[in-house]
Amino acid sequence: MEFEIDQARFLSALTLASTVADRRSTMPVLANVLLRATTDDELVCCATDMMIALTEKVPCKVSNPGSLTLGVRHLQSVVRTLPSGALRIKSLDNSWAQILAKRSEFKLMGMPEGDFPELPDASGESFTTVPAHKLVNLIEKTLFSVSTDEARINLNGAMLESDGQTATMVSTDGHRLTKFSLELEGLALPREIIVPRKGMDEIRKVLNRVEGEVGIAVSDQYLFVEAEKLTLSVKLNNVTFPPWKQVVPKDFQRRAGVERTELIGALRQAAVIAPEKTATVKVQLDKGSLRLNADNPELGAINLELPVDYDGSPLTAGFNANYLIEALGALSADRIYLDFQGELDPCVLRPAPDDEGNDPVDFLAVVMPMRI
Amino acid sequence: MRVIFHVDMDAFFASIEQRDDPRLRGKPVLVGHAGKRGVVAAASYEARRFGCHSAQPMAVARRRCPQAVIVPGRHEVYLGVSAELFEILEGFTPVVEGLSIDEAFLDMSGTQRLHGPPRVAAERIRQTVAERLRLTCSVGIASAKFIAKIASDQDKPDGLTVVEPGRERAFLHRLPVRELWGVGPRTQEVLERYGVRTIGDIAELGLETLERDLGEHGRHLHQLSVGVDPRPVSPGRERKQVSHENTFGEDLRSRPEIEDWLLRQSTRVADRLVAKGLHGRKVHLKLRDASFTTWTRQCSLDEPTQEARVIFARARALLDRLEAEGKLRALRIRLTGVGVSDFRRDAPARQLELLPVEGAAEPATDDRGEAVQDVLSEVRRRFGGKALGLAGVGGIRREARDDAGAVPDLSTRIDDD
Repeated sequence: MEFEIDQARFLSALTLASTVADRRSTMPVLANVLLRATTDDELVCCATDMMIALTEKVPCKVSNPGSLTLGVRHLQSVVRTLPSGALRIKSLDNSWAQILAKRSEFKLMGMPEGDFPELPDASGESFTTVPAHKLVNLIEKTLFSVSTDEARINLNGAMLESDGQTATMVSTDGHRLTKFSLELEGLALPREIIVPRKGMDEIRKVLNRVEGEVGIAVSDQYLFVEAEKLTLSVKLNNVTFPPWKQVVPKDFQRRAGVERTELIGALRQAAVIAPEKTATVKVQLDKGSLRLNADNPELGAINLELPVDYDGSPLTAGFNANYLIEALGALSADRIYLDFQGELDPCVLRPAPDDEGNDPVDFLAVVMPMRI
Repeated sequence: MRVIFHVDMDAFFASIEQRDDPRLRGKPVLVGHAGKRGVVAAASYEARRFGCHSAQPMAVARRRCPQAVIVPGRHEVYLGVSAELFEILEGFTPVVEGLSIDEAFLDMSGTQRLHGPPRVAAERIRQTVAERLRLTCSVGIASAKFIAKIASDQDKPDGLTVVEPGRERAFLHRLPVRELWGVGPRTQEVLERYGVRTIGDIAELGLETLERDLGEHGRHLHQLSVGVDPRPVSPGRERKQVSHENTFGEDLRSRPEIEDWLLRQSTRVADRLVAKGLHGRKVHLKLRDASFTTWTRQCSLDEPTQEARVIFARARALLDRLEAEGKLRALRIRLTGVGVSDFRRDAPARQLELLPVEGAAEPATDDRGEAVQDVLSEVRRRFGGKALGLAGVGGIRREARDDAGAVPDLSTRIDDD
């Protein structure tokens, strides 16, 4: 194998591959990127951690087709230090690779292609084209509340359903839940799928490099995303998502309207003082006012007050400030509603209609209070 | 200059047994379960002469000393005596740090006017213990905790060793490195490479080498080797972990069997957490297989807990992890244990669940779990351990198995530190 490639383009492909490759695996080859130089003057770069697989095609000048795997982290470090312009990579005997730049010659030890696992094949799948930004939007609005608790595998991913008109993504960690829906024409999934957290993150990274449209396909086990020269496959979590609709309150007894950025600012102030682990803040609603209070025996206390639209009966509830901040961060509306029932019932955050009375986006976040 | 006492009871469990049963006096006594897999909880000094010691497999101890009398432990009694011991110690100074059931550090700085010079005060403590408990203890006195601890061991049993201020280095110099707190086989191996055998050698080896090879730990060892240990005696017995483990007469051979034991152990741990008013944020799982390989795994919880259900759910998840790593392939388990650590004294604010832990539909908007735990613990406290418990797992019926006696539990270890 021998090819000549542009340093910047190569580095960009390696950087993306290194986010997928798994350095801590018991299979050492997963820390490597597979480089395959083809007769079409293309370098195919593949990386996988067995759950996610990424393939990117980078144009290059191939003088001798072939393949090799190299440790992606070191290769990336090497390429980053090289001057811009063309560099030449050549395979030597026993899976060694030679990297030639203007003045330097590196030799890196690799492994043969045969050791690299076979990647999921997307060739038989039928892809639907959707706007990349919509997919990113679905992910970004729900990623934060996916559970990181390994003991709750059925919550370690977000649920995605799409009927050809509307796509909905839901995530929950057992304490809070986020749901976001948007119009997505054409994508009709036969069932709901659970996209694991790391996969969501990877799709977002890949799609942030893409303008326009991407292809999506879902097989029994995988979600495939195809964009320009990139193909990503994500192994779906084969679990049942909890019946989330049952925990979303159907109505509310008390509704407060608040300026979103003001509330975020106030919560951030309170979070500084609140106990680090629990981030407990007390929210007190009374006519026209929302008071926040945090108490930390080791640090001190904070009290602050915001004007709100509220004329219900007084209410005091405890919350993890970070849950509220993250939910508010996923909203984009200027004004939002906080819907309550009792003090120990879930609180629902939704966007309020804008000044012109336009319907807001279809987003809601359910946050369970704390017993204080 | 601080004056620190380390008070350590002599062969505590065994001495209590000899005290309460005159027939045992002067004889080698082993406390622990007599079965082939029992472990020695304590050995009397008569038995130690034959090479018996605590934590030794009972089978080994019996081989070394076939004439030894083996008595099952009476944990309740030991706890009672321990409480009395601490009461005595706290009569001498309020700054008492319990190290285990039968040893403690006392900060006796500034008590000269009250109790006389350290040596006199120590003899008074030893005398009071002997009179009230009819047991002997050994005391070490030094300017630092770890030196006092080493000192109390020098003249055991029934001894008193004083390391005078300024004599710390001379005292430590000749002692083997393993006497230092925190030197296990691993560290010893590293030190061995430099020919380091005594604490004096460590001091001579110098800080740089130690830091390079052992990092922060090396720096710490160097400090200790020159007699520097500023750690204060912190009163109260800081519990670091509450755990429960069992060694089985016959290896557990199936996953449901293992889970069933984990459930029992989680329940016991939960009972003790409730009794002590503790909530822990870490769950530990310990398994040992027939080849004596031990695995421990732990995970953190988002919320501190004292609930058996939650502890068990995590222990089972950790078991899943071990299974996924292929550790259970042989599936011959001789010991299982469950522990909880990282305590928060009564968690003031608790995050409520939107979805119950098992992933069912109904939102848990109340304290049902905790309330159930309280009731279960209270019932077991009043009517005994088997009065009421959670249903078993994996279809193993507890009564059926107890009748058949297929899996007797041979040694139970309860740890509160």
